[in-house]
Amino acid sequence: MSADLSISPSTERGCPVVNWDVGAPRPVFGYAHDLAQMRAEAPIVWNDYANGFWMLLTHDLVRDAFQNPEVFCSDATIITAPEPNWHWIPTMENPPQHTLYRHVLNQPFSPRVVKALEPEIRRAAVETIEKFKANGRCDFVRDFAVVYPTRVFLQMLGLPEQDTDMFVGWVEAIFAGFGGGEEAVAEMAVATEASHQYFAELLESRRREPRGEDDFFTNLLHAKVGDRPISDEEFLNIADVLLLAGLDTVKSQLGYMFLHLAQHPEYRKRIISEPSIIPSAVEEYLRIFAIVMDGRKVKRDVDFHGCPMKKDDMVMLCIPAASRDEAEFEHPDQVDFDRDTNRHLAFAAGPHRCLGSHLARVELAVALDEWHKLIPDYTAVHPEKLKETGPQLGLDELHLQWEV
Amino acid sequence: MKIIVDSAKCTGHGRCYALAPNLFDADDQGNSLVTVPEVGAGTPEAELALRAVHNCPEGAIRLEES
Repeated sequence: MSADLSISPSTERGCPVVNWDVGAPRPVFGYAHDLAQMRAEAPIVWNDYANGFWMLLTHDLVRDAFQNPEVFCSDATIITAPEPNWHWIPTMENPPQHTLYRHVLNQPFSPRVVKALEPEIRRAAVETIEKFKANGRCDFVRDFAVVYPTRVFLQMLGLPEQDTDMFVGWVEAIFAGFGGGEEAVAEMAVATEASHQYFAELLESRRREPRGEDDFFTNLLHAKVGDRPISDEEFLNIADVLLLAGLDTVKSQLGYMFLHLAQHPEYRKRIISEPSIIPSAVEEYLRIFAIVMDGRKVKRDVDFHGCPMKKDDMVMLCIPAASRDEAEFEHPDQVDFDRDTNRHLAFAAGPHRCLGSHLARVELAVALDEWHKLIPDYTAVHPEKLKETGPQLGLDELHLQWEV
Repeated sequence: MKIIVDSAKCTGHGRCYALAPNLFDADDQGNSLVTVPEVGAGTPEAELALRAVHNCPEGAIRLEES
């Protein structure tokens, strides 16, 4: 476990001050450990790291901030980049413009549409597992958690299945580039350019040959933002954002879930003997292993629970800390599939509620179900050596083995 | 008991219609629609409605005495 943090009081900030690296590799669950230590001191801390920013640590404050985009706006959402030279749609939009984009995007990601895809999602899970099952081992992250959501993504968006490996390569390069060295950043630029080019060609192709009424990109091409047609630039921007937001998140969530299951056979047994518990298990894993620490930018000077926040300050909404807040959750550090009150914020709250949340839930539920039908018993190889990185929490690797 | 969804707060998490599909449904955007606006106090339906209240991340659902 991580060493204790140095937390000092500050009268000027109205809260304790830390200097806490938000991206460093730590032993797995080191982030949760540090966040719990900070939350025990105060609901808000100031972090001197990088440009400096506020950290909200309790469930009620994190939710409050998500629900108040007039104060906590999305002009900047990456905590260490208060003046981004990029603009993601709809991630970095604010109401009322944001509402227009979500009106276009909510329907194709609605529970009804996702439910209809479930047989294809099951097929993607089973086929991915079948590829390595006979080996008796895998790197769960690389062999399953990256590949499976990518296949689902392509299926859902009407893109060819044979592009899976290409997309996996892009996503890996792009995420290795965030906070990586010079070479990783260069590879990220290449991947970004290649995926952008892919979507530009797709746009032309759908324009020349529109597909049926269920085709995501044909519909997006004909979408209206309010009362005007969507622009090519908006179309491409949204496509890039879907790629960034949709794949790495599910990968990370799966990693933590299967690490827990590998180390807790009684939970695996329950999933196999009582599959009706799966939806509740998914919610509980989303809560306890929440991975997103979202950024917001303060729109105007405000006194927020005793902290004098200034216009343009950055604020980190620490969902993993909110998720284990004992004021909101009983026995918050325990995985409890029978938890009947669970207002977790894994998908945020307010207008930016995760667009892909319904898809993610089905992907996670199907993974739990199909994996355990095929590989009911398995162990983690050297789990004590595992590292996690931030600020979007995730495991780089997770080696599992089983008898064949 | 009346089941009330604050449509200004609902952002379509879908917990209510997943947990209590006989009381709530989704509109085409995925936001909540109450299909059974009133349930008897102490009935299994009231219990389900309370579960929906307890699992709404936005705090958008409430029960009121009829």
